Amino acid sequence: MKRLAYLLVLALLLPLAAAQDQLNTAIGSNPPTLDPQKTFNGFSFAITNQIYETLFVVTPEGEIEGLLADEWEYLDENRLQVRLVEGVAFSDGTPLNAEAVRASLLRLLDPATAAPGRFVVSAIQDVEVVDETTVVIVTAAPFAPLLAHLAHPVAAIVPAAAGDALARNPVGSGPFELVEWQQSNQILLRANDDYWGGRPAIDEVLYRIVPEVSTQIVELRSGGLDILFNIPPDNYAALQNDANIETEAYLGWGSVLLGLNTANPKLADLQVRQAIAHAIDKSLIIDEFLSGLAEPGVAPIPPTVRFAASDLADPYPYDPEAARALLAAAGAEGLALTLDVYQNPDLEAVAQVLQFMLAEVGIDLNIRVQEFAAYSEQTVSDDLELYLTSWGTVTLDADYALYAFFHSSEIPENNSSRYQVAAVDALLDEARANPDEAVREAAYRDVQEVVLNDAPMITLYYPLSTVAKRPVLTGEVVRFSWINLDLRDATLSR
Amino acid sequence: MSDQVVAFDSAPATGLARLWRGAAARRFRRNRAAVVGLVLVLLLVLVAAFAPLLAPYAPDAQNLRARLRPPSAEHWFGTDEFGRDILSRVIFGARISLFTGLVPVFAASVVGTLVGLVAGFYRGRVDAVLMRLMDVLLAFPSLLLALAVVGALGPGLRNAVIAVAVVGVPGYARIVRSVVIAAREEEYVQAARALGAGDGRLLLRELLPAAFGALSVQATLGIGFAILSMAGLSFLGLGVQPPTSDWGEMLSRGRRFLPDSGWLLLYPGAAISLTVLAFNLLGDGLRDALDPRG
Repeated sequence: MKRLAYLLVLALLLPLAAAQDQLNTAIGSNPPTLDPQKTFNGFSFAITNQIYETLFVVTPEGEIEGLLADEWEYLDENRLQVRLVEGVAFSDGTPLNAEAVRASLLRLLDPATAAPGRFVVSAIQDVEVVDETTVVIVTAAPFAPLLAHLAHPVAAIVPAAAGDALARNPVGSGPFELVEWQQSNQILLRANDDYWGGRPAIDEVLYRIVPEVSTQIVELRSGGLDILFNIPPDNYAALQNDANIETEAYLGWGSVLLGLNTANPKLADLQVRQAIAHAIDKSLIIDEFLSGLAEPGVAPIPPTVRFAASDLADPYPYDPEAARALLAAAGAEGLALTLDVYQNPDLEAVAQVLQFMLAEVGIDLNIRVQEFAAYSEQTVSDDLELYLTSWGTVTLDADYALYAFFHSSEIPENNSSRYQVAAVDALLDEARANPDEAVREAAYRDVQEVVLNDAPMITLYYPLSTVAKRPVLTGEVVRFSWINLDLRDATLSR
Repeated sequence: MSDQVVAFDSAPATGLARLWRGAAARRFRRNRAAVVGLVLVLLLVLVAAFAPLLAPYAPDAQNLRARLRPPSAEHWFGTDEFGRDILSRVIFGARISLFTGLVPVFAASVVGTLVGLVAGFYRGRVDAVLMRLMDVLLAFPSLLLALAVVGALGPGLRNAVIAVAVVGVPGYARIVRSVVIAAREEEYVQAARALGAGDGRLLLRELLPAAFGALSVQATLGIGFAILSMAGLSFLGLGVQPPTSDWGEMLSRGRRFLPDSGWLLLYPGAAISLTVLAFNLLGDGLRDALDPRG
């Protein structure tokens, strides 16, 4: 009887002991899939980045480094030869070799895959297998940001043969593998014992799906969660003052921008766009509304992104008087505009601040909040006026944002401002094709200068990425965004 | 005896006005809870009517330098995330709440009454078709049905009002139908028919007034429900669009600040509760007064 009692106590304690090495965190939404090629969703990438790996990564210093790629060189301007790290296998045991890389990239390119992130690798024409661990990636035309694009989460190498099963049963070469996915409840990962880079010290990572941010924060404070990302600015100060919590805020890859459809008759006049820019008090938004958890932005891309022209002065600083004068000069007094925004508490709030600021100079702003799919549909429609967007330059290369926003071939999907300037197109093409860094830098600088003056988009701010964690977790690295949480060298000490 | 009084009171010829002066009104006045409800409702109407005079600030005026301030002498109910005065927004929110309480109920009761009159009067196949249609509407949980309607029409105040109205229709239809079915066999209706009254006259002059008592109770209770539903839709971001002050919307945005700034939720929440309570007290009082058997 006594022995039975001991056993019972032991049985009760065992799960507790196991939980010692489990990292608890939360995400706000159930990921739609765990196949990185079939999604463009941050909640998916946050998980797939633990399970799968890309050929390259961008280091916190902004340098491009090999991950699955060991060595690489350009054979000519269209042929990139990559030697893979040897002895890497997917968690199901199949080798991650040249053949696998070829199959994975071709699957992403295959229109039948219907990958929302296909455009990331669309410059690639073919992938040739040289030997067991060497591939040559062939582009149709020179594509300077190729390495950065191969670092994008959608370019993760997957076992292509697994096909649709990857969505629910992901198989990758990464440091963690999926144990269990309870839809809309939680996702449990465990360390990959055979990880080629050495088994991570943390045994398990539990992602709980907690939609309410305030609930996440209460859980972090009470010890139910160990680490949280993207803390709303209004909750950050309280966490900062909590002795049991470490916080960090740093510049990521994001920009929050106000887009103006230059093809809309109401906004075709440059003076009207200038007036809108002059009406916005960016520093008030940053200092008061965002509690300082953002950096003021002029260029469309933050300084963390390569070739960002961060020293450009704002041609249209806050000046409501000038805004009113410009509106009068344009004959646009009593202007009424609609601002489209997708459902996101932060952006919706910014929209309301803009509504008030524009009202101060006599512009009546109607805010239309829709779910993302409906919003996206609206941005490609001709009657689009203003739109608010939050953009992550995930490749950390200027091409990813500037080409998408301002090249005429991207109208209307990404270039929803319908910005069409031949000289800018030429510069963007040149910077995309020319591997010479100095040439690229000069071209992107010119683009940013022209675009700033034409005001098809107004950069409101660069939001800071925020992390709050309990000190039990050490050694984690977060590269620019919460989706790039790197736990390979992290440890838990409870 | 009292049954006869009621039967007489709600008899068609007397109408609402005389009914109000009769025994029912006495019973209502003696019901303290009902009187409290009535006073609260009147107060709400006054607040809504004189909102611009009562509110200390413009409800949409932002002051980003005075965000999330707790209640103080300057801002009795504190300020929200945009530095807007919560008291002023609660006061202006009364307008939206009354509007969103009354309009859908009015629309639903008009449509529901028509359906109920026609179904109850003609019976047979018309009745079967109309009432099965009402059953279909009733089969869905009301908020879910409202969500579906807003989903089809798109978010916004007008569509949310339509949604809440649609949800309310079957309730009125069923009540009116049951009254009509009972009343059409009454002698006064038979007499009117014998005197040559047409269907239209019978429906509107003889049968409709018979349903007034039950209708007014259902409508008063319905207002509380409509306000709650609208607040729910606004809470989900499907009702009133920014920057209009609306209690449901205030709750929705305020919940992000719950850990540190509870006053963002306290006042609009209290306003919704009080308003719904007031209409429910009033509705219960009316029911008790008009139908002492219940």
